[in-house]
Amino acid sequence: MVIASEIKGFYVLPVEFPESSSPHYIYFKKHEVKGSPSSGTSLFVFNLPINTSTATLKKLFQDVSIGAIMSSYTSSKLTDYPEDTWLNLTELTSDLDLKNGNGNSIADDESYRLPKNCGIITFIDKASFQLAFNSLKKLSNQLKVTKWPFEIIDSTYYLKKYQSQIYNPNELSEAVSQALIEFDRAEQESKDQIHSNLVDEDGFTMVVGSHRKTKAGIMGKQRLAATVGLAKAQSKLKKQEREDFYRFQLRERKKDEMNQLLYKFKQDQEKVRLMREKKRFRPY
Amino acid sequence: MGKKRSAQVTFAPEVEEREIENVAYENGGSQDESDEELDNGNEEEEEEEEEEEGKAQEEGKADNNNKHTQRPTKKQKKQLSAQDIQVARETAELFKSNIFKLQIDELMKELRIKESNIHKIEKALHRLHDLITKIPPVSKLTLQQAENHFNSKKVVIPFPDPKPTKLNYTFSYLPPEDVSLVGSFGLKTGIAQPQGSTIDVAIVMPRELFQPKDYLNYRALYKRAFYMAYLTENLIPLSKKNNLPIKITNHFLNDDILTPVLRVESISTDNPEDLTFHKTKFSINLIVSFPFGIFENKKLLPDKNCIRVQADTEDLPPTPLYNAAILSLTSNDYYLKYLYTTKKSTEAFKDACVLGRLWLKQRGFGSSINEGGFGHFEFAILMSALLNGGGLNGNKILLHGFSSYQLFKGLIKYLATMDLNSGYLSFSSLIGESSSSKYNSDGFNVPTIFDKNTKLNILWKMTQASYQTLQEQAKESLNLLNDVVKDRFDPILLQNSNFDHMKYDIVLNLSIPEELNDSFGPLEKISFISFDNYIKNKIYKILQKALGDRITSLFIKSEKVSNYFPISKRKPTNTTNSYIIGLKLNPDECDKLVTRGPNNDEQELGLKFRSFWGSKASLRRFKVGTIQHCVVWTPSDNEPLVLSIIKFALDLHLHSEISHHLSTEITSFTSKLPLPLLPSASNQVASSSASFTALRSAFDNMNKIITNLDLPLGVKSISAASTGLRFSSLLQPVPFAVSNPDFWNEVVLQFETSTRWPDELSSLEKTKTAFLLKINELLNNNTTYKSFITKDDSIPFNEDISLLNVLTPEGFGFKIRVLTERDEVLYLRAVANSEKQKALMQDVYLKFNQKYIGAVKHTRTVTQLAHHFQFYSSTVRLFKLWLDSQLLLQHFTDELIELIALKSFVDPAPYSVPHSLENGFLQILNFVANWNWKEESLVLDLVKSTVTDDDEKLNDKLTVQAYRVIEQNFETIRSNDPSGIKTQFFVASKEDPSGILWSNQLALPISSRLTALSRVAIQLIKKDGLSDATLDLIFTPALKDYDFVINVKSANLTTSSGVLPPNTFKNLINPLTSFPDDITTKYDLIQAYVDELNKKFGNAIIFSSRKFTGISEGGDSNYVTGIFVPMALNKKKFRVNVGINTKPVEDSTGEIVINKEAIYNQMTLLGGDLVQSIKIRK
Repeated sequence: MVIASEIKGFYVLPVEFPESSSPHYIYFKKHEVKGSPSSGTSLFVFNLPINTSTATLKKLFQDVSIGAIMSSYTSSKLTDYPEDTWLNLTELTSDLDLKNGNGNSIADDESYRLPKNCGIITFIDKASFQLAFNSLKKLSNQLKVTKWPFEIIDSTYYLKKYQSQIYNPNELSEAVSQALIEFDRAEQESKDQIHSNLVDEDGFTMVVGSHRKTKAGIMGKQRLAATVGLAKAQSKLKKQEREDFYRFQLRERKKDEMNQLLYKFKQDQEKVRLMREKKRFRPY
Repeated sequence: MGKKRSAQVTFAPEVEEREIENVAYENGGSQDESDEELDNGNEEEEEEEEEEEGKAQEEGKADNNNKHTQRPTKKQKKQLSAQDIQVARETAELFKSNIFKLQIDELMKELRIKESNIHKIEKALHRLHDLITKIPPVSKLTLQQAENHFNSKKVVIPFPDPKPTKLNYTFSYLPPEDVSLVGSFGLKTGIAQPQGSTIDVAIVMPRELFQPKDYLNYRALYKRAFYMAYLTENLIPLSKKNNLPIKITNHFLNDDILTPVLRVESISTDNPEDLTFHKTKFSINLIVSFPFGIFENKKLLPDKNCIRVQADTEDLPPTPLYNAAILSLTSNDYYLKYLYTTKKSTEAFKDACVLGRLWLKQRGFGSSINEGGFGHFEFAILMSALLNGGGLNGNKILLHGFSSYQLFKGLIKYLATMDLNSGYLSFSSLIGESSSSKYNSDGFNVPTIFDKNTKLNILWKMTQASYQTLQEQAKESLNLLNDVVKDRFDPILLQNSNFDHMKYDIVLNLSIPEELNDSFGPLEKISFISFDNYIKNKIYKILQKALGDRITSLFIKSEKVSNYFPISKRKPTNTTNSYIIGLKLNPDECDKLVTRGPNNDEQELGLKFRSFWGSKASLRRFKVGTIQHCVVWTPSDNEPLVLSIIKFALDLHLHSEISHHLSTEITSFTSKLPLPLLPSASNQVASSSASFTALRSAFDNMNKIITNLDLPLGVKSISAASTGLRFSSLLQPVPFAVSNPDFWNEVVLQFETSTRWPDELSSLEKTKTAFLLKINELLNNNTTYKSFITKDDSIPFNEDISLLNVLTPEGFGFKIRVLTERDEVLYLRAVANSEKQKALMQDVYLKFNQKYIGAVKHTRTVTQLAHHFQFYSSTVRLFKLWLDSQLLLQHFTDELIELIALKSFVDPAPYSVPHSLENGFLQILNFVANWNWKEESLVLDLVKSTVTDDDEKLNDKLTVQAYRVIEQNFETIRSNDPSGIKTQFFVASKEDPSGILWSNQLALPISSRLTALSRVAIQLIKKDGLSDATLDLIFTPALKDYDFVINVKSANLTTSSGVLPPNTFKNLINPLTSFPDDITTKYDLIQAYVDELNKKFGNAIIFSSRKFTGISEGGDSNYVTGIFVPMALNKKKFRVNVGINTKPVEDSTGEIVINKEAIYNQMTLLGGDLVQSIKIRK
């Protein structure tokens, strides 16, 4: 059995679970982002086993390379999500620049952009990183199966899941008020911006009513309905003009009706022909 | 051709101009005229008829036009004729009949008997004819001689009962007066049938053999029996000699034991010179018949007695069946001539007969007594009669110029609207006579179409019961024919609707004990001829009287008819005494606890009532003040009331222990539904809706409390959006039953309109949460309600939604979500802004629509319909139970299932609205099994009544336009996705014309599995019949089909789900009285496990498990099964975003493949102590 220890620049690390016979494979490589401060200190890992957390990884590095100290672990938000890509509804519904608790813009959160089962492990310094990277590489080259420090799950795990769904009202109200303050700030900012100067495509400055809050509200009415398969009955305004005033209108209408009928008849014939082909006329 | 014509229309408008105007003028004129006529008309009936005729003529014309459109002459191609334009002005009805016509044409082609077969059979018939003429005569044999003439091991004279012992007349055989084809083959209205058809040949006995009084006391029939036997005896050697290998058996024509006929079948041989026709599947009936007019017909009127027996009474009862049997034997070829004349005068007669024949056949009707006594012969005669009148004044119902569709529809309408039981139709079959047929409203209380010429009642084989059934069917078909919105061709003609358990609400099997034969005395014998007829009539009379308004139709038939017997026997030996009774219930009456009788002061009626009900009858004073005789019933656990009444009545009047011979499966269906754990122990009926009402009132109470809270923004409405609140949750809502997956009822709260909602989604959700926090605080501090706030992840990517969970003092739970007028705008904006991810974002929007808008509308509609269709609630619950037992339920949205189940209620064609759990469930299964969702959409008209209301404005049925929009949506979806990979079930209604709102997230394997499983279930039922064993099998999951099965176990949830554990005593289990301290401890952990599995492996595996662990065996175990998505199993190029657990492919670079072992391993680890074992399919 020959398994490549390297695929497309990724190293392959076989790991083993309690009570298992066959290994799981993790792929990793150096994570390099141009101009990022963490460049050279982080590891990009792919196909991580389930329930990988910072604690699991810390335990792993304690086992395989003592001394390599992790500073952070960013996992993909999608790992435990049924969808394959992440949609940012804030971004799609508004152009306000909202920040999350850490003061980062919500839009640039890395964890939302990583694909499923991927993660970035950052170490405190280059030395730590090298230490960890080398020892993992060594294991990979030897094709040696490493023990994965899996945290054993029991039924309380699921009970806690249920319990964690319930919010603590105090914390929740704190978080909500924080978020709403942030929203008010962002909205005010946007308001200031649009009221100062807004120039449209043709170079005209737009005059904005005082109750307008965001750019999105101005920049076009929402193209409703048609975008979605829901064929909402399009209630067009009824034409005010009379439809039977001129003779030609009557004529046209009759002609239309007739064309419609013939068209329908043709369609019916076609439909019946198709049904015949599908042998739909067998009564038994 | 169509193309050219339409081009013509567009290019030459000037030519038509004038003509159009002419037509318009003419039309206007004719309209006025008809109005005048109506004004002048004095009698109501006349008006109606005139109108009808006018309409009919119009339709007739239109139909002609259709023909023109199909075969345009040269002249017509050049310019559009006035007629064409008139077609254009016709209504949508004609549009339908347009396609209907095309479909009929296709059907006719399909039903045509193969030319080659006809050819072959004709040859055989000729040869048979020759053989018959070769038979030597024999004369003047006494009974003794006649019997000795035959070798009794080979041929026995098929004398009807009673077998003659001493006769003072002799038997002879002379060459037949005439041998002629009769029946549909002669008329060329025969249709191809999979089981083959029979050709009727009448062999008319010569007049010399009879004396005028031979119609009495079976004499003619005895002579006929000898004639038959002699014919048989000679035919066998002759056929052998003449290379026509045949097999002859005796057979009762139309189940009438007085008229045995010879059935001739072909035998296949190796000799090429033999003339065989077995491949054509035809068989020939040799009907030995009497010459026309040989007896004085007047003496054989239905009210005359022609069998003289010794009896105490002066007047012998009439012998209608005997008389009719004799008469119809004299008139076989006469009626053929009559029908042939009609056929000649009416072009479409033949096609209409074929349609009628198919229509009857699909509904299980036939000429034979056991099939109802109304077959294609009766259909054809009725049509002929109606072509010569048939109205109250002898006015014509059908016109000779009608198309086949119009003839057919006219006849169905006649059957549906005229009562031939209380009134009767009289006509004359005398050819050339112009006397018209006439409907007389006072009849004989037997189904009657009376031929003045032959004095025969054409419907003599029908009973009141079968007539009632026929009329019901006609009414339903008439509604379908009148439907202008949908194409109803399929249910009217193509679908077979002859499965008893779907046709009737209750089906009973009754085996009659031998002792009852004693009650079949000589007088009964002469009026009913056979024990079969006698007992059926008796049961019918008893049940009809006992059930009265509780049923709308009642049909009794023999389970098995032994019709055939060898020529060496006088009659069939093994007769079974087992009957099937089918009942259709009247939902308004069937469960009433009191059967009311006459008032106290009506002595005579009171006496009758008392004698019928015996000890059960009592006198009661009712609230209105009347004192009435009545019977009060006590409902039993799971037996419908109707069944109890039937048992009582049959025991009292038929045989004292007959109810032990009565079996039905109706109770096994009811007992499938889990019993609720409620304190009112005596009223625990699985199908009761009291618990739902309790939930509803708890909801209303909460509604009041919350609306009255002092909030910054007033509450506008709180709308129900859960299964429990629309009578369709699998388990009945039981207070404090928190383990029930449907314990939490979602409701949607709307505040008063405000412009201040944030214009960004996550902040909007946060603002809603702020409101919920306020309500939460107020509820917890000021009321007896308990509440808390939970996170909700039902809308993907929206992580800020929170719901207010409210526990009411009554013991129910509600989850409140908030809808604002801003939400939809924002989601739609997101759809518009999303570029690459549009499809994904649309799904998100659909999810939102489901949860916040669709569910509310759906709940409103279903609640209404559940009130109207009493059995909807229990039926849909049983259907859900079945789905859950097959591990399918969790894949479907509840709404989708409810809509599919509604189909059988709002649109049950070709069956009728089910009024029992059994019938409803089977109809749903049957629909799902036969639903070809790749090609057919399911469009539901969710209104209460299926009967077409005349007042167009008042009913809110689907309009043609709305229907067409929906159909177009379906076509668009299918043209993009022809094999249904993304969308399988298209289920649309007025509320959701998109058709995908509830079925959007379904996976192809799941949809296919539903179809496959229901198909297997229906096949099983049809093959093995219904029994507890089959039913159990249907509810057993098929685990073998999955890639792996994980056995999981958690705490026992049965009682905490509000279910009475099976096989326990009600009084030993205490109902729940309070909420647990930590409500989460009673949740089903297995669901969380499945949820987790789906999150982690859902893109490679489809997981299935039971949603209701609490009602599984033991209440604590469950399965989680999985199937790998085929796409995930392929080798893949190494990419970071494959998203599934992989391993490098051995001996390859850059390729990876799914790592199943690791996945199994991690799934097991993830389950922790829940997992008991995992079984992997090799």
